[in-house]
Amino acid sequence: MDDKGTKRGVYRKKFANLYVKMTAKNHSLFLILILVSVIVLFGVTLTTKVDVVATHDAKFENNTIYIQDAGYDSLQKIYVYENRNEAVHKIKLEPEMVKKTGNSTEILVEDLDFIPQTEDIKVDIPVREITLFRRVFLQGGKNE
Amino acid sequence: MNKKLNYFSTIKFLSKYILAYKKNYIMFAIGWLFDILLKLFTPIMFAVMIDEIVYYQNVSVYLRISVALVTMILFACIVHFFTQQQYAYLQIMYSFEIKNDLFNAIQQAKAEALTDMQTGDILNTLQSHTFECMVFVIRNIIHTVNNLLALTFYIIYVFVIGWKFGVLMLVGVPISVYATIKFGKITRKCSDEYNTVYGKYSGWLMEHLSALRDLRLLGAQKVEEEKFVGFQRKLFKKENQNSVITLSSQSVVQTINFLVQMAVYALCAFYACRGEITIGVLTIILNYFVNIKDKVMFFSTCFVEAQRRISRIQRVYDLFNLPSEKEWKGKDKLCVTSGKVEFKQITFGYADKQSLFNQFSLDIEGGRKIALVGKSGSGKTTLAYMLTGFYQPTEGEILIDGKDISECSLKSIRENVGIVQQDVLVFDGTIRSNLLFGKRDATEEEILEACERAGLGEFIRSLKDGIDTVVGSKGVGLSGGQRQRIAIARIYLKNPQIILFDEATSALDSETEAFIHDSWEKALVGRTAIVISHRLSSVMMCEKVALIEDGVLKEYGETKKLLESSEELRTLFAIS
Repeated sequence: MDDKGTKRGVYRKKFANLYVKMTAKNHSLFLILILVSVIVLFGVTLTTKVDVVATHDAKFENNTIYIQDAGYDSLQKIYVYENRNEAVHKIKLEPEMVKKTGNSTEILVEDLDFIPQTEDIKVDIPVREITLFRRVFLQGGKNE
Repeated sequence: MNKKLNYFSTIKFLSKYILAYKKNYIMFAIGWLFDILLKLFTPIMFAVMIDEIVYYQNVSVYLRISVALVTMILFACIVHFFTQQQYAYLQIMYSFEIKNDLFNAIQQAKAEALTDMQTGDILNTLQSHTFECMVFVIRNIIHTVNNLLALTFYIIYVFVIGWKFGVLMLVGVPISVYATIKFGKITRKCSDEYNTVYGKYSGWLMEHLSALRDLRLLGAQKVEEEKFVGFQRKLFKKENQNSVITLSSQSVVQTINFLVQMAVYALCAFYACRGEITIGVLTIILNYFVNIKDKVMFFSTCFVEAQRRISRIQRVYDLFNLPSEKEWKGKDKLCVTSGKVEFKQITFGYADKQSLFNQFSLDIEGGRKIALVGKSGSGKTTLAYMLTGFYQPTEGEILIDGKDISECSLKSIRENVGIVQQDVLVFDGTIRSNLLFGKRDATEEEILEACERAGLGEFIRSLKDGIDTVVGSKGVGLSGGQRQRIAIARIYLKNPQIILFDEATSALDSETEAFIHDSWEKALVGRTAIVISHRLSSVMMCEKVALIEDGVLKEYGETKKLLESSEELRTLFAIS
């Protein structure tokens, strides 16, 4: 029993020494951990893509959305709203629904699941994708 | 008088100990910085997640950012654990190193530098104030640098998000800084006063506790209780002042922050209503404002706390800078043959007091026993301490066998000059360990022989564990005579050529004193002995006697003759 106790004591002491060595005295493990953390952080944020959304003032008349200040050839989806903090409506688009005329765009939407209260609305259009890294670290979370 | 520390000179003073563990400090700083950066970016990631899911129902992006965020937090936890380990390690090592150096500084301090210091105050500085040094390094250096970096990052990102928010958040900073500096100065003054009172209190308490029995006999409990209450009142008053100043400082900064907070909320509401900021961006701004506010509060509290800490570190610094025995210039090895001692026209006085000795001279022949007598305060003990190198005469020289001791190393002087005092130092430990202070590498035979010659043999044989019996407060109690014999056994082991006895038998009864004198006679054969005593019996065993009055040698000659002829000597010993 005494022998076992002594052996256990020796193991405990060895473990304690190793613990202090690995956590405080030897800096390699700590540096590797920091390095891995930074690599993982960069890796995850660089591979995750988020949309860059352009916000336009638009008019809604006769089931058509008129964007006056930007011309788009093709659009896959848009987000329409009157007040963004109340409700934003996602609309999926087919190519034939979008028509570019000069510096403006007309979007024909027939089966809308909401009716805007006024003809002045806003439209958010995903224009391209950027990495999460850029959005977080360089733009401080702002859209653009 | 040491220089008064300020924030930067304190950093300079403590940097020596930072450099000793610089790698650990760098690791700690990196870990902390990593932690801060994650705290900086987490709200932004949350904001992107909120915008993606609330406005655009983009579940896949939401989930991917969630995974990234959870991974970051997981790593942050592991890094945090390692950082805390570094902190614990540094805390232990820093305290150890600084305590060790301070202990050595105290050990090497000149006797005259320690004369006016109270033991309790030194103990308090060594045990408590050294801890403040470590806290200062961690909190007021590393955390301050990291928080300053964090604050810079937060401000930069707020400006990236919206410069108007940035400007608004910074409006209160200069006012907070001004208030903090003003309050910091008052805190330092109050802390200095508090520490002075606390030092006096510690010293008094230490003396009081060590003299409890005497105080009871003197019936001084009531007076002492009044002193205790007086100290507590003073300390309470000073502590109260400190608390009021700290709280006032915090309140001023908090009020400024509160006003800025209201303005930031109003600006956020304005832009949110106009649809110019999203919910995500709003959460970032509010989160960053809280963080910036916390950092400003941290600097304010930290600066005020630092003043209190510097006041304590000042005491550590003062102890470190006590005049040291290292300044002793002598390097030669003192070799004593006959043991002749000469005090040649020495002049000496304690600091800020008038000279005790003025051109004092005394020759002591080698191998003879001489008694130094005189009224208390006449300078007998000072002479003994000068001979052992504790004090140095300002003028004149002390020669041992013709060699000026100021040219010899203190180690060799103390190897050749032994001293036996009234209060023999007996540490808690075995008799053996106590005797080994005389000679660290003494063999078993040498120790036993020394015990026999000192008259300790019979006593040791009567003990169950013999020489390995534990003595002191945790073991067998020793009588005054036994303590004196321990001192004599040490002398045998140390074997110095010159031995000083400073009131060594004054607390013993006549019978024990006679036994001790017997032991002395044996121990002093062929050695020079200087006996400082108020007892005639001790004087009578010496061949010569020197009467000193107010640092002046009044009489010097053969003991018996002088006792017959000198009226002053007869008066001193009340001989009719």
